[in-house]
Amino acid sequence: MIARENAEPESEPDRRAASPAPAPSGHAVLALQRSVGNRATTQLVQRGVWNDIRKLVGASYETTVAGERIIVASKAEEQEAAGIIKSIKDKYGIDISSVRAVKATVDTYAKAPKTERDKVKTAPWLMRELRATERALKHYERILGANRALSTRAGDAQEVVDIGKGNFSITQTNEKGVIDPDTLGEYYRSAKTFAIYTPGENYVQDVGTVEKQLEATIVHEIAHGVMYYALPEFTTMSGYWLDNRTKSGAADAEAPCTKYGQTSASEDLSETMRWYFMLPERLKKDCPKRYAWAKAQAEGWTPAPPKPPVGDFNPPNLPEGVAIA
Amino acid sequence: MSGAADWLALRDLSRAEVEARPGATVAEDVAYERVRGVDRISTPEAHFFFDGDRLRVVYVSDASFGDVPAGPLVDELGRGEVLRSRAGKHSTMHIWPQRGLAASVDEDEERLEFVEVFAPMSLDDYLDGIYEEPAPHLM
Repeated sequence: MIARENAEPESEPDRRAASPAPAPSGHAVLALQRSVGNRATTQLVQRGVWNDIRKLVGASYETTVAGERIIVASKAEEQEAAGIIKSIKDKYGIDISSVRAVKATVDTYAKAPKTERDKVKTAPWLMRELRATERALKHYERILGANRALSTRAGDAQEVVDIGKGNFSITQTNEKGVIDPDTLGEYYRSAKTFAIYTPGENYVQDVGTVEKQLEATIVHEIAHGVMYYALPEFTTMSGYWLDNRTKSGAADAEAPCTKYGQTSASEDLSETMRWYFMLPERLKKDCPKRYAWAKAQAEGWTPAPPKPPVGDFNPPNLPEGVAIA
Repeated sequence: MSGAADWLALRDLSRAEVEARPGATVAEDVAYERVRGVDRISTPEAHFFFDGDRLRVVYVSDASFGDVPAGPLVDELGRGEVLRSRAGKHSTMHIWPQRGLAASVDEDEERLEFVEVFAPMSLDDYLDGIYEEPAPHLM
């Protein structure tokens, strides 16, 4: 897997779009020329060692951790990235695998032109994306990994097993499909995988900061997987939907919390969970019905602890003279 | 149902006939995509949207008709006009406006997701009067 990922040819425009450690700027080249001379600078740039130079001078650079390309600023961040990837696997049973996320993307859009599908590549993670992934998964911790066996979702296989970073998705599953400049993330049910894409790297919508937005996007994607079981109930509960794809047109139904949630009941559910975890007070105020439903779902994942037995049972063996208070 | 004639036969039903069907329920003053201010009569087979006694559109979903391959309908009518479907990025809307028929196809599984039946019209009239462009996919 790792060798295949590293061996993937990268088209130059995609690489520029994906990486915040791009080719050297004129200013940086001049600075380098002043310190090591023109000839050495030319040779360094031509030999493709720019990433190594960035590392040496303390700028962000691309490295590989657990098979994933990651942009880091220091050795400490390399270690942090390794820790996050391991923690996500250990706690939530999820692999960070951009190769599998890209494969899911390309397989899903099999009817799009090959020239477009060939443009879909893995992209290096930003540290803020890895951190956001870990934070987002924590919201669902009671139904992920080993905890799932203790939850109300115990009987069903986990719906998300891989998460990865790609440069772009594709717009449509037909001959009109082209590279998609808008999609921030996408869940692929048959692969139990979701991908986040480079358009999300600096996107801010309604939660304040890029970091929070990344977390919110991932919360939304996870909901497409782990809350799919609740979609029929949600669709009926809302009154806004006739079925998953069709609005009821009822004027008195509580509307979704975002315009994007009006796309389908499935997007409505994911947007509801996004707000429940990221903007709970706003959801409670704007969409009380959805808030109550989301709260009941999230709080219901872990059954209440069993009540102590009642009735006759043998008292414990206590030393003579000791009484139970 | 899988051929065009089967679907188009739904257009021949009057409001009284639809309301008389077992299990029919009526919701007044609702909407279907761009069609506003209509009454929806839902039966186990389909949802019929009437403006008074005039049928505007019939919506039939796979919840009613089950697993129906898209191939026979597309083979019979051709691909038609192809637009984005509100069913999602993995779906395509095929429209045959002059026939009064449109269908959303799950391109992964090549099956019908829903069908719309309406009076024959031009593509422009369909786009202005029934079709609502889905929002760009973000997440």
